[in-house]
Amino acid sequence: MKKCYVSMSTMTLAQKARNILALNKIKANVVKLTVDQSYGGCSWGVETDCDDQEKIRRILDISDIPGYRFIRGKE
Amino acid sequence: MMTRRIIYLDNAATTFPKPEGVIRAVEECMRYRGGNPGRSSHSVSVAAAQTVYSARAAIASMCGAEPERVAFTLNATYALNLAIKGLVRPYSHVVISNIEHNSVLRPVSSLSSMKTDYSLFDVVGKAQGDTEGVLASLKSALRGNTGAVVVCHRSNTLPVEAPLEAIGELCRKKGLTFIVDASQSFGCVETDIEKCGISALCAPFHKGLYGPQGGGFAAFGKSVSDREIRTIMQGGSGSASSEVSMPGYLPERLEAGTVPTPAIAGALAGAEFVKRQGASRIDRYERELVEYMKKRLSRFDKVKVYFPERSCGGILLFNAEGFSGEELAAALDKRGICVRSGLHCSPLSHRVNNTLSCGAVRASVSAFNSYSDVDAFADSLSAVLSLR
Repeated sequence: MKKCYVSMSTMTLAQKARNILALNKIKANVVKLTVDQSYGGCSWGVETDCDDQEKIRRILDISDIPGYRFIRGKE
Repeated sequence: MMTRRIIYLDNAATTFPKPEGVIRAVEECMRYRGGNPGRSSHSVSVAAAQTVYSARAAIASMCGAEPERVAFTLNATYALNLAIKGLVRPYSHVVISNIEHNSVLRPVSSLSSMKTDYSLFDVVGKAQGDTEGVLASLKSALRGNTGAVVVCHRSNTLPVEAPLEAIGELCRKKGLTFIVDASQSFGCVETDIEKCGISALCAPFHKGLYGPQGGGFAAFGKSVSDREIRTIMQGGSGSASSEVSMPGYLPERLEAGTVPTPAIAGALAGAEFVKRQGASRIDRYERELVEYMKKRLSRFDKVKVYFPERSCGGILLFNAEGFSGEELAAALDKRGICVRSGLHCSPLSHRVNNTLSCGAVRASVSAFNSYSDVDAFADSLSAVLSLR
């Protein structure tokens, strides 16, 4: 499984995204992103399966999660 | 050790006792989830962050807000300062009600340093439910440069409730920021901030939410954009750390420094308590207790109850002929009855009540009081009155 990270900038938005994705049966873990992955230093996101990327994008758009972006992870 | 029975009737200052679940939640948080939320990636920090998010979601669901639009603060006064100073613009005008607590009056008054002044409008009305009279007074207080209306949902001294939906509708039509002090109503009255057109609703944990002292929140409506709110405190936020300014997103934009996680854990348990009991059920019960209190006090010729014809919230304000408020409160305390005398940090409402020079005594109930508490209070008051 390829892991993708969705950057949310704040811990609160990452928690919200994780809960919304869980309601849609998508497993996501809240993670602290590395400094080089982050905009402006420390930021937070969720770790997910890359295969779910399009579905996740649709869900986050409908849920008004602002300013998220996908970051490719490691296999 | 002998312990004296205490009848606590000062719940408008802070509810006491707290539900057992609240005490347990605070202890469990300090024992097992004591990390700094939103700072580190280890399990103890993430567990704390989950508690904080759950509390945001619980409070948000009680007022129709989104979880991320609930910013935690140290108390309701801090939340009101944050909302007022964050949203009111320089060289503008603010309208506040004529019964506001100092937590609104003082921050609004301080805006004079940025050339913003304020006027009062009458929210008491001619009788309970006089929405037309309240709106007429509000309209007459508006000026061309009015930018905001700030009102307490319920008074901490008088049985008065502001018609939020009607005021919110007027603010929406006029494009005004609408800030609500829900310190005395949150947990008793279900309020939808979007339906009422509220820009910011502020409340503490330790009153109707039955949480610990040391925490409060401001819930922002969707009409307010995140960056529109000026920050009044700056510091660490756990995100955008290389930037010199606070993050652009709520709630972290407004939460500089570590939030009071144990108090937040307690507030979450308090919200669950209120949900189980039902806010409207708690409110109805408190009103019934106050009605019974009025009935008992009506037998005392020396006692004057203010606004006896109105029924709103769990408070009753009174004085007794021949006694100062402080004398009454002290004499009742000797008999194990806790009430509060003075001006209750609300000189405006005492001016309306013509008690600014003498103050008054407030008895206020919570879900934990009983009819026998009211009887004990009335019997003790009777004994005190018989001394003169």
